[in-house]
Amino acid sequence: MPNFSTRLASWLGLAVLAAGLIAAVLMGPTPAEDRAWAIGSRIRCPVCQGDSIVDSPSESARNMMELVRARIDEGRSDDEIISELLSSYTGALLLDPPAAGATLWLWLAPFAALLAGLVMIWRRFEGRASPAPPMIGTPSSMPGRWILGGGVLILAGAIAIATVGQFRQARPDDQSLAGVAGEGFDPEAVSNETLEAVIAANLENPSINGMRLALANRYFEEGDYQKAFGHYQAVLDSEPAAAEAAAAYTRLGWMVYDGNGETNLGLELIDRGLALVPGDAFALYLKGRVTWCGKADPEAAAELFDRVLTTPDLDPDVRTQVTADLERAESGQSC
Amino acid sequence: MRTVRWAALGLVAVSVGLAVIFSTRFGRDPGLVPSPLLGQPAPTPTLPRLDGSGDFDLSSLRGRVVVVNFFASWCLPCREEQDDLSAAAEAFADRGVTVVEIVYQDTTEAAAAFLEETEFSDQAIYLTDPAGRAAIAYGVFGIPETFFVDQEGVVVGKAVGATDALVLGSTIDAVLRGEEPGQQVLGETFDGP
Repeated sequence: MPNFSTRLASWLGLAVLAAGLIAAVLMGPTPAEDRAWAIGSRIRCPVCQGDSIVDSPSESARNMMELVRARIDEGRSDDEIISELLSSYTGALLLDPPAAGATLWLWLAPFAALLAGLVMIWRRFEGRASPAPPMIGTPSSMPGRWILGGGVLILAGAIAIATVGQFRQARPDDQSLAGVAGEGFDPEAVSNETLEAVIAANLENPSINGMRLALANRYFEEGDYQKAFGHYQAVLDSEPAAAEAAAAYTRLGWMVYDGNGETNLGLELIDRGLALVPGDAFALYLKGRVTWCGKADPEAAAELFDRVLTTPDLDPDVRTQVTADLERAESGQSC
Repeated sequence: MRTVRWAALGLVAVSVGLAVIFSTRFGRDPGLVPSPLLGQPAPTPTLPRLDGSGDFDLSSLRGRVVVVNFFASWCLPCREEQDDLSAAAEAFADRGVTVVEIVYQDTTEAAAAFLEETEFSDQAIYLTDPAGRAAIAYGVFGIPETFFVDQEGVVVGKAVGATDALVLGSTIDAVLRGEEPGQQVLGETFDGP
């Protein structure tokens, strides 16, 4: 009679095999509703990672699906249509590797693994039913080996799942300052005039916000509030993400205080930013400065500076500056 | 029994090894693999001119060296290289070279404004690409991408990322000498604004 460890290892092994089969069925091709869908689901979107041209909302994928439909209307075969796409994009465009040539073993290996696993389990149960069972409890007994085998199977499954997860990872949504390749081009090196021209040419495109904020922040740091103001306002008018709106509110708050001397409005705008991203160190620091210098309230400012210093991973230069401000505010000095 | 177990464990070990190898390779950008068009006849679609003055058949350029560039107004590196593309169009026109610039995923108005703002050449040909057929035919992953086609209509070179005067000049010279420059990765490419 096998002990608990043996049974557990056996069931775990079976569970891994069953999970693999279910995953293979779920992730495999679904019955095609039409030929275009069937072909499109085999073609990887060239500007995405892991999405087919059926699934991807990108313009490239939509164009490729239109081409597939047009070729079907022209009477082309599936192979002809796929070959046309592969002729310009390489075989990397295929989501499933071809079941022939060098990639044939990729299709055969899982079945070989499944067969080997079934043989192991069949042999195990055959051995249990035999009149001369192996010795149990000795260092070389079956349970130990089965636990080892089950453990290796689970490890292999975990690595395979992690690998698939990485393969299916989507590209980041914000493409404004991100590219496909990663060499040579530094957006930071682009001049303000170039960024202005790109933004002007894409006024209707909401994904331009990242670039707009980068430019506005650049003007803000240069002290050119007049130019920064318009871009922050445009970001707020575009139904931005919370972090984008918070960045805009915070800097607008500082600008109306620093540029126009409007302390209350400045604090209100910074508070709107803090409501969207609570605890933002930069917003807290600016609020502290406005409170100290505009409201002449060093005690309240000191509390805010103190909160800034609790932020982990604060830039050392910023920490030095805030610490100095805190000491002065705590001693009641004016800013 | 022992043989079967060792075979099964060996299979598992090989699978784990392959999973690790694949996981390191999936991060590679397929846009950087050599274009299968290199050494093959260049696609020669007929496309509308950007200025609306009718269609242009790319096959009519057979016998000339053709530089095919994909660009858009929202593409920052495209702005970097635009002056050099126009300069190359002017400098090499008399040596049998034509620069063709094709709009990639952009409106006609924005692309025209982009050329007005930057630098355009009367020697270059500017085309639009409805439904992205030309971009698909050339296997464009992102822009800027530039293809170099020899007098026989064969793709002999490709530049991924922004070109400059040196790259354009040396590559065109190499094609005129009958060489095949192949693929160069110069910098980042973008697939949308």
